[in-house]
Parts: sequence; C-alpha cells; structure tokens
Amino acid sequence: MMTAHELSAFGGCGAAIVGAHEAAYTRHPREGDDTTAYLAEAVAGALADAGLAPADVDGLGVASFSLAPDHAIDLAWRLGLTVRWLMDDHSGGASAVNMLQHAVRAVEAGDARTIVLCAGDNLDRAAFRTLVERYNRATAEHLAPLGYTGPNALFAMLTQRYLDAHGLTRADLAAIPVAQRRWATGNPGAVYREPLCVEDVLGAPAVAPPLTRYDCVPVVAGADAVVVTADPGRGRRVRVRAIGALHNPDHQAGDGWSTGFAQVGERLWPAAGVRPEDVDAAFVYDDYPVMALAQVDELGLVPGHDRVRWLHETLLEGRWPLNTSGGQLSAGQAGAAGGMHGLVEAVRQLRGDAEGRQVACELALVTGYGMVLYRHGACHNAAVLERLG
Amino acid sequence: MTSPLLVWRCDGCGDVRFPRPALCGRCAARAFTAVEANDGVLEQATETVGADGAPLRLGTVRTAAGPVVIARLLAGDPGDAVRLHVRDRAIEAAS
Repeated sequence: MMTAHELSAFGGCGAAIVGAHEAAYTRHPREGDDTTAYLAEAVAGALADAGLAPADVDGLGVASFSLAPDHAIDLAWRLGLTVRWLMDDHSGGASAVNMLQHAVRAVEAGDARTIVLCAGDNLDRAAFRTLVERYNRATAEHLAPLGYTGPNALFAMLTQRYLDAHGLTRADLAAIPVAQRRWATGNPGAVYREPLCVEDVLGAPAVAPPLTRYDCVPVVAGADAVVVTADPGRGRRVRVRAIGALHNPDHQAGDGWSTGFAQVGERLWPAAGVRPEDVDAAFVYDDYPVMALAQVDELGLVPGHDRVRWLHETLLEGRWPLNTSGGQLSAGQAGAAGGMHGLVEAVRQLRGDAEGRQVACELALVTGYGMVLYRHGACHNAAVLERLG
Repeated sequence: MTSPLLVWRCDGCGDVRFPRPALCGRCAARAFTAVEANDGVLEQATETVGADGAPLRLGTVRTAAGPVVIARLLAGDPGDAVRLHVRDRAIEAAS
C-alpha cells in the first residue's frame, strides 16, 4: 500500500542532496595517492557531511578517466559498498549532472535510497598526454597525427569565432577569469587565489592565441562526491527541481558556440517552474571562458543577449555569483571531477557551507559540458537546484 | 608522400560528413562513398606547441565538399582559400 510520501510501489521517494565534499585539489599529488585514494577521500567526506556511514549506501556512480582498468564495481568493492544501483559515466564534464539525473530518478523510483556519486582523477604528465592524444578514435586518427596536444587550440579557434560573431573583445571576455578569480580568493581549496585584472589575463603567456594561461584550467589531482538520498524531510538539503540534457546536437558540424544549451533551457526552466532571472547563483562548466559565457547566455541569464553589458556591469561591477569557488579556471580541473566541482560548490552555497564566499542562495543553476569529439564538446546538461530546510 | 583528404557521402541521401559515420542519422543508410576534399576556406588559425615541442599552426578549414576539418596549417591566414591533402595521416592545409 503506497503512503502519501511514496512515489512508487517500490518505496520511491523524492530525492535530496544531503552531502557534498571535495578532496583537496593539488598540482603536486603525493606519491602513492592514486585515483582511487582521491575518490575515497571525496566519498568519505561527503558521507561524513551527510551524517551517513558506508553501510547506509546502496548506490554508487563514478566518473573518472584514470580509474581504468577498474570500473564502478571495482570501486564499490574498494570502498566497502554493497549496492543495488551502479553506474560508470564517461561523459567528461557532463558526467556529474548526468549521474545526478539518473540517481534522482533511481531514488524516486525506489531503485535505491542512498546513492553516492563521485568523480575524480590523478593524471600524471604522461597519463594526461595519453588521455588527450587518445581521447577517442577521432582524436587518435585525425588530431594526434597533427601533433595535437589537447583541446586548447580548438577552443582558441572557437573563442575567435565567438568574439568575431558577437563583437566582443578579448578584454570583454577576460571579465570571466577576472571575476571568478575574485571569488577564488575566498576559496582555500582553489589552486590559484591571487587576484587578477584584465591586463594580467591579456598579457599572460599565450597558450594558443587568443587564449592565454588564465583562459585555461590548471590540471590538478582531486575528486568530488555528493550524496543523493530519499528526502529526509528535515535538515539543510538540496532538491533538484529539474534536469535537462542534449548530446550531439550538431554532429560536430556547427560553430561550437551555438550549443545544445539553448534547447536544454527551453525545457529546463518550465520544468523547474522558475525563470533564469530567479536563480541566485550559477555554476557553469568553465573549461574555457568562452564556454562559460556561451552557457550563461544560451540558458537565459544574459538579458537581451547584451553580453558586453552583462560581463562588465553584472559580472564584474555587480559581482554576480558565477562559479563562486573560482570555477575550474581558478580552482583547478581534476579530470572528470570538473563536472562535479560546480555541483559541490552549488550544494555548499545552497546549504550555507561556503564560508569566505557565501552568498544568499536559495536557487542555483549547475551545468555540465564536455566530450570534445573532434572540434568541440558534444555533451550538454543542466540542473536547477533549490535549498530546502 | 601525400594523399587526398577523403570525406564521406551517404549512399542513401547524399549527406557529406567527416569523419566517416557508421549509420546515417538522416536516412539510416550504412554505406558511404569517399569523396576527395581538395579545397576549402581557412576560417580560423592559432599557434601552439606541438607534441614534438616545436611550434604548430592549426587551422579550422571549411571544405568545399562541406565538412569542417582541423588541419596543420602550412601557410595562409583566415579567409584564404587553401588546398588540402593528407601526409602521414595528418590533414594539412596551405594557401
């Protein structure tokens, strides 16, 4: 017999995020700290944050580039977990929101009650090199032979396309790393915390013009984890109001900056029952400043698509809360953890755990983007989160 | 030794893509014919460091055949018409 709270005959229940943790990002991993160790640290921290024990967990999802040859089931074993729900995700920066979508539905359906989602990597220089050169078949067959060393050059060209198409200057776009770095000064976990000005960004060593050092994420070792559980009905927790996704919208044939996010937004906001202007903060996947801007614009956060005004007045002068951890551009990208970094920061803001950079936050937007198939990313997803309790 | 850049035309509907698809999303055909893509327009270019540590110029080229490819740029600036070929599996473009 179904009770008023149950959503399914199998004990399904509304889901809530009740814990989040980031295993400290570092550019200098200690000898012996492998990927599994970072994931374990993140999972342990998230469970402690949730006030739960490993025995309470009955679902595990993991996204990692370097866990191989292990998979989610191996990690479950190494973490001492017995689970009813299991997921490996290989959607790069979109993995976290993708896993979140599946985890929330699993809890709603009663397939699991307490799911831990984790993501992270410890990639040494050689492993990183192998990863980018053999990222997928298209990269191995058509990019690696060029002498390709990673997607910076691709996003440099995409950035130039975007600047040209929208009448932006490099100085306009530099508002993104500058504004995010300002937030990073309040995040002890960020690897870059020194304030930046626009001139610092423009004058930094070129990586691939028009991109400079501060337009590219620092590679770090680390991991993130969140706990999704049947809503306990009390305590500081986060509910997912809506999630949407779109993958491979343009078959790699488009300009790369007209992303799947426009279509994601068309369903996301009505499903969430809120408007873009209602969110208090946004945590968008910032592998590059241009992609962060493309996302906020396509998801409706830039009134009238007046990007220049938004960058200077809203973001820089107005200090609108975009990526309050500093984003990956300041905090670092720990491989597949990149997509979960923003989710963890959103949960911390919503639950009042962002000391040093806390904003009034009841409603937040989190995005995922990733999997550069050949010219640009193919995976896009986004979630609207709200504070409960 | 160079060879032509090949792009792929669907035998069912004529859609041209690169790299070669396994299934045509428009007509469900699974047979594709190679088409030479010898010319294009260079749309963007950038300079980076290659895997061998030497400077590397890369370009985004919109082929006349349709698909957009990433090429090692031997000569040319954005807006230039370029010729395309493949050398040791690497797509190269030059104005």
